Amino acid sequence: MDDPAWHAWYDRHAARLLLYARQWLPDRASAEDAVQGGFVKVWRGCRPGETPDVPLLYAAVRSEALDLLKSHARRRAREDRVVAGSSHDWWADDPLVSQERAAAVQRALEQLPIEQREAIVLRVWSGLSFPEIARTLGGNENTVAARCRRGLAALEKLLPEGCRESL
Amino acid sequence: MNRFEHDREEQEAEAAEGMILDLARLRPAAPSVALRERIAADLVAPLSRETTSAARSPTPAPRGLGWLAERMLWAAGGAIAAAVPLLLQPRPLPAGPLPADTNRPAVAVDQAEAVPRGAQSSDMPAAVPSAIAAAEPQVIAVEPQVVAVEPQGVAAQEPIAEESLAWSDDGVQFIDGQIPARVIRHWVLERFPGADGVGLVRPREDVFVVPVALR
Repeated sequence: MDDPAWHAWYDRHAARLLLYARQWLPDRASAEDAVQGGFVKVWRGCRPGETPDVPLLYAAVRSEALDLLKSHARRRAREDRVVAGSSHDWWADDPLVSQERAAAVQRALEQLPIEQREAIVLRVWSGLSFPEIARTLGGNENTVAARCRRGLAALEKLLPEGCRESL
Repeated sequence: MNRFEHDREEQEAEAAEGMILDLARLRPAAPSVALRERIAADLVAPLSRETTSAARSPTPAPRGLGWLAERMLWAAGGAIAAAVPLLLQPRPLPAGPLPADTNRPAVAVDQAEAVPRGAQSSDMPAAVPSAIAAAEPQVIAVEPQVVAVEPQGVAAQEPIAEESLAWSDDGVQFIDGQIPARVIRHWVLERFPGADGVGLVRPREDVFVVPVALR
């Protein structure tokens, strides 16, 4: 099963999947566990020479993340403390983007409802279309588009003045 | 939908797309190198998922027969330790009245002497003196003498089964008016095989006379 094809797939989607998993899970290690579980599960289900369905891959990671979240429910208090004290490590270091603005975007995203947040993450950073997002979340395409639109409007209001003009 | 609303939605969509492009300039952080290695290990060995996850998760490792044998050994030891005090505990004597089918003969019997059951009532001694009865008896002889009371008219043969009915402690009595002894009675139901195939049931009374010293 050591198919080199999965390496290219992993390079293309791993960071996006990790960011998506972090919308539920408070720490990076748990999010990586969710990515691992979802990626392996979907890739094993593929026939030789076949590539996985992208919305299915995100849905599998989402399912793994929710399962991990349930299993960590008893440690919720500790995880809340982790979330409160976590460093803003959602984004890669980029000299063209201010770290302050990156942190501001993350803080604003964290204040959005999870439905709007995951729609925005899938649309903006995963590059999925609204039909693909609808397949991932199991909803209606128009509903997903409306969530994304409302979420972006709310995000714009939550961002500090200097961050609205340009990242 | 009128033209005004349509234009407004188009403007909102354009603004959203512009914001999406701005936000997309942020690139998600890459996962750790270990994640790729873990996925590779999982894809190579189908069962290695549990192995690699067990190293990080708090779930216990699979247990084998050695673990089971050790647990059973500890369980057996615990059961034995719990049963020993129960087995060493003396059997309590019944405090209530005796069964109806056994007339309790309140009589002192001589040591090592068989007393027919019907002849006991006339040999009842006087009550124990109160001064002595109040004293705490101390058992000095631990070899009780069993006095078998054979019911009359029954052939001497071995019973095939015995059923304990009741115990009785008559307290300290004076044998022959001199020797203090504790009298304990035990009623047993004996079962004998009958000649015509019908089993015979016969009650038996054992009297234990334990000499004691009073102080």
